[in-house]
Parts: sequence; structure tokens; C-alpha cells
Amino acid sequence: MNDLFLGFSVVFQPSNFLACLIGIVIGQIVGILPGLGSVGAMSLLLPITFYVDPTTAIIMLAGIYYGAQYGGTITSVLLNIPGEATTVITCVDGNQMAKQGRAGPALAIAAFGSFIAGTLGIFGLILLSKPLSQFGLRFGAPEYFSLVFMGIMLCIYLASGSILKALISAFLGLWVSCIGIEVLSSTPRFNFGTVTLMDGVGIVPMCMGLFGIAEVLINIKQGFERKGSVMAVGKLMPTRKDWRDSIGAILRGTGIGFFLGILPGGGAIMASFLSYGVEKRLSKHPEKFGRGAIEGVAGPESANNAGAQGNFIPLLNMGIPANAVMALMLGALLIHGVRPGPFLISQNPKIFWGVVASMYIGNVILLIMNIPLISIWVRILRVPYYILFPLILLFCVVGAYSINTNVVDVYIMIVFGGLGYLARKNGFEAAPFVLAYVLGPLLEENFLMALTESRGNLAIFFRSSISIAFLSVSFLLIISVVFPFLKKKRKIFAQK
Amino acid sequence: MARKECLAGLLIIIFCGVTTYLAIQLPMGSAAKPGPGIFPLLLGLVIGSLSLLLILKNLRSQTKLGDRGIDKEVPTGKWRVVYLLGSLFLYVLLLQPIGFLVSTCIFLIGLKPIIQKSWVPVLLGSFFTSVVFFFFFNYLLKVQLPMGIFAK
Repeated sequence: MNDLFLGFSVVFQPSNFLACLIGIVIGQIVGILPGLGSVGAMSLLLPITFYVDPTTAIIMLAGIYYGAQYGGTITSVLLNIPGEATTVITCVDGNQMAKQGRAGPALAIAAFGSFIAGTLGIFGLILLSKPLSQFGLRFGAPEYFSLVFMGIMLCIYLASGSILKALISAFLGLWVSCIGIEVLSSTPRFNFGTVTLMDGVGIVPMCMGLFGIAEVLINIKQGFERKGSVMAVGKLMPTRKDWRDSIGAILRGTGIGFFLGILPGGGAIMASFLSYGVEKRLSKHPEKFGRGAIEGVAGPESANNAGAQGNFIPLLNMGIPANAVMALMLGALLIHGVRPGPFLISQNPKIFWGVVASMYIGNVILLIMNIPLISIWVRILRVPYYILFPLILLFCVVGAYSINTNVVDVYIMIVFGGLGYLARKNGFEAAPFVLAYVLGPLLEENFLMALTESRGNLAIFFRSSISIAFLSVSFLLIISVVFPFLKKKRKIFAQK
Repeated sequence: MARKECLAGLLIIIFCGVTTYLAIQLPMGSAAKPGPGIFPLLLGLVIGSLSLLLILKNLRSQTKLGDRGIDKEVPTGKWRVVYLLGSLFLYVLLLQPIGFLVSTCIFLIGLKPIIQKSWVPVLLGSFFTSVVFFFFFNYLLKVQLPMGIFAK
């Protein structure tokens, strides 16, 4: 606890507090504007950090990271456009809540959930940092494959409609993730000779198309007449019932996010999808999911914030970045002459505990800043749709273009917009597609690495208890879906 | 609805056929050292099988319920979707040659048939929005938007 007080004393120094505030504001703006991304914003601001000390630099960069998480939530809820990949799943129920006039409670529960997850995450960091990072080291290729496979099977629980169509969507997402350079052999696949597709299909233009553009197409097809108070703005704060429904989801999401955030690759994205799947599985009313269930916002939002904190554990304890954002943080630390690793706490306690404390302060700032702003954010919904939809389209076009200053990304967005529209009209959901797309490279890479390691022997996936556990859960997930179907079949036979 | 789903399944099967053919062109490797073609090949086969299941499921439900797959959906508003997608493609096509400012203005004016407001607010709104977006993104956020005809 003394170390934590040291951390707070570091954060409350004027320069560090200001850096935290600036980072959060910039991060939130970046999160709201799709396409710019937290990695892009951090890269742009990295040179500025050369003029400040390492602690201040890392605190500001960390602020951008979790500021962007909440910024992405705002557009996910209000406009069905995920500002960040980690907020894709929030679109599913968050936007439905906004259409029911409950945008305020959705945004508020996301802010409170993130704050609670952040607070609990701090204690997790203090108590479990070392043992958890050691646990993470036990994950090899077979364990990663099994974990990711389980994550994709969870897409069954993301489906609010046909499970068969959700599976088709997920496997199509896996196929799209094959476009580009294959990781192990560096062989280009399905890029049709184009240089742009060598890097694969960008997740940002794809998500903007599938969610943002498709949503606009669906709405303009229906016309601009609004029935009753569909876009009316109701209460801004969650009710007692909302809190009762959400608190379990927040606590479970925090646990899921924190543990998954430790693992390189999956992190906050998988944590948010996994949390959604768990909440739907545990809910007494799973039919509410996809139609504005507040648990579908509370769980994933807590998970992605806890996952963002969990990402710091392998970085600060072992110098292993969990994703592109952490890789940038590692770069920033090295530029400032700080080497993360087991000795960081003893050699640079101010940096370690300063960053830990800044996460908590950052969550407090986000909460204080955003709760009063909710009434302003929800006013966006009152803007007539004939004014709103061209602005949404322009934001999407500029956002997609700004990724690589390349019009091909905009074309990709439009194509996925058209495909997303057709998919929705035919009952194919976008969330399983996106989840599988994100996890596809991890799944394939670890599958191939495991087979290479075992010289083609599939038994490698059943050698460790961790891998067996994940595969067992996957099998149970499949059975739990198939079994009710089989039970129904047996009943029909018996009646005949 | 069942007919639409059968059509969707069929289209996905055709897509899988093409992708499986493309995957076979890639090196398959061996069990001990799998090549880059093995994963997409497996995926193509799985997706094709699932799509076939979808078609069979819908054919069975059509036979059972006597549903002739009559689509009762009234096709109003589809023209707006086609028009908007076409406008977006044209907009991106013009983006680099004539620049963000002019192409955005043209695109927004082109949305008039969907917006269904009179010319004056559409023209003023299009011009104002293009200028604001250009200055906000190009100068404030330093996003390099195409200058087109205004390039030096």
C-alpha cells in the first residue's frame, strides 16, 4: 500500500496530472472519431513526450489508451459505429438501448462499469501482478489455439438469431483474416496482386462498413419517419433495476478482462466478446440480448477497461507487449532509457506505481468528465436523421481514408457496408464475423506452430491441462447448443 | 424468406468453391510442416458444408409448411440504398482527382433525392459542411486530405 501511495503522490504532481488529463481528452476525441485510433494518436504524440520525463510521458500515453476506450463507446452506443475494435460488441445492445431512448443509462453504466473495473483492476495489479505474469508464461501454441478456439465458439452465444448463420458468419470472418501475408511462411494469399491487400483487410474500415455504413443504409431504406418516441431521450442515469441487472456483469467482466488482458494478442478485444457471451449464457432472459439488454453493455465495457489494465502486467513485469499499443509503450519506455522487466519495480518504483496510480486517477477523471457530458452526447440523437446521416458518412469516409491516406481503405469500407446491409437483411450477424476476423491470425498461427512442434501429431492439443480445459469448455458450448435441438427431435419422434 | 436464405446459401457455396480453388493453388505442405494453403482450404470446406446445411434446412421447412417462399416484403426504399452506395463509390472515385473540398460538396448535393429538402438549404449545407470538415481534419487534426485541383 505504501507503494500505491507513492504512485498517487507521483500522479498528483502538477505536470503528471496535466499529462494524464491531456492524454484522456485526446484519447476520448480519438476514440470518438473512427479511423484515427489510439495507436495513431500515440504515435503522433510520441515526439512530444521526448521533452518530458519518462513518468510523465508514460502517464500521458496511458491516458490516451483508456480515454480512447470510452470515446469508442460513445459512438458505438449513439451511432452504431465502433470507434475502437474493443467497442464493437457494445454496438449490439448499446445502440438498441439508444433507439429505445435509453442512451443515457447505456453511456452512464459504461462509465461507471469502467470506473469499477479500473478500481478493482488496481488491486489486481498490486496483488496478482507477479503470479499472473508467471501463469501467462505457461501459454504455448497449443494453449493459445485452444483459448482462441473457445473464444470463437462463444460466437454461438453472441447470436441473437440463427446459430447456423452465426457459425457461417464466424467462419467467413476467419476466411477474410487469411487475406494478406501468411505469418509463418510470408506467402501472400488472396491479395490478387495488389499491394494494399498484402496487409490484409483493415479492421477499422471493415467495422465502419459493417456497422456504420450498413446502419445508415438500413435506416435510409426505412425512410426518415420516426415512429412514436423511438429516438426520444429518456432518463440519463441508470435506474435501480439497471444497477441490479448490471452489477454482476460488471464484476464478471472485470475478472474476465483482467485475466485475458495478461495474454498477448487477445487482450481487451477478446475480453469484451467473451464477457458478452458469458452474460448471455448466465442470463435468465437471454432473448433480451441484442434488443437492448444493459448487461450486454455493462459486462463488455468493464471487460475492455480491465483488459486494458491487464495489458500493462506483461509489459511492466516482463517487458512483453500484449498488443500494438503496448508495443508503442515499450518503445516509449526504451526511448526514455527505462527497461521494463522484473527489476522495474525496484529500480524505477516511481514509473511503475505512477502508471498504476494514473490508471485509477484516469478512470476518476473519465467518470467526472463524462457523466455531465452524457446529456450533451445524447442530444446527437435529436438531430434530424437527414442531417445526421451525411455527417456519419463523411466521418466514416475521412476516418477510413486517414488510416493510410489511401482510398482503397474507403472502398473496402463501402464494400463491407454493402455486404453488411445484405447480411443484416438476411439474418447474418456482424459481431461473430468481426470476432473471428480478429482472432483468425492467432488461431491459424498457433495451430500451425503447434503442428510443426509436434510434427503433425494432433495429440499436442491434449497434452496440457490448460489446453484440455479450454477445449472441454468449447465442446460443452457446442453440446449445450446441439443438445436442446436433439431433445426436441427425440420428443417429435416419441410423439410419432 | 426461405427462398432468400436458399439463395444466400447458394451464393456462399459458390464463393467457397472459388476460394477453395484459390487455396489449392497455394502450397499445402505436409502434416509436420503445414503450408499456407491448408487453413483457407479447411475453412472453405467448413463454410461450404454449413451453407449446404442452411439450404437443406430451408428446403425442408418449405416442404413442411407448404411455404412457397413468397417474399411479402414491399420493395420500397431499395432505390435509396442503391443510389447511396453508387454515390459513395462515385465520391471516392472523384476524391483524389478533384480534391476533398469539391468532391464532398458534390457528394452532399447529390444526396438531395434522399434528403428531399429544397435546393437552397441543400446547397448551403453542402458547402458549409465541406469547408468545416476540410479545415477541421486537414488543419486541426493534420489528416492529409487530397487537395486535387487546389494542389500546388
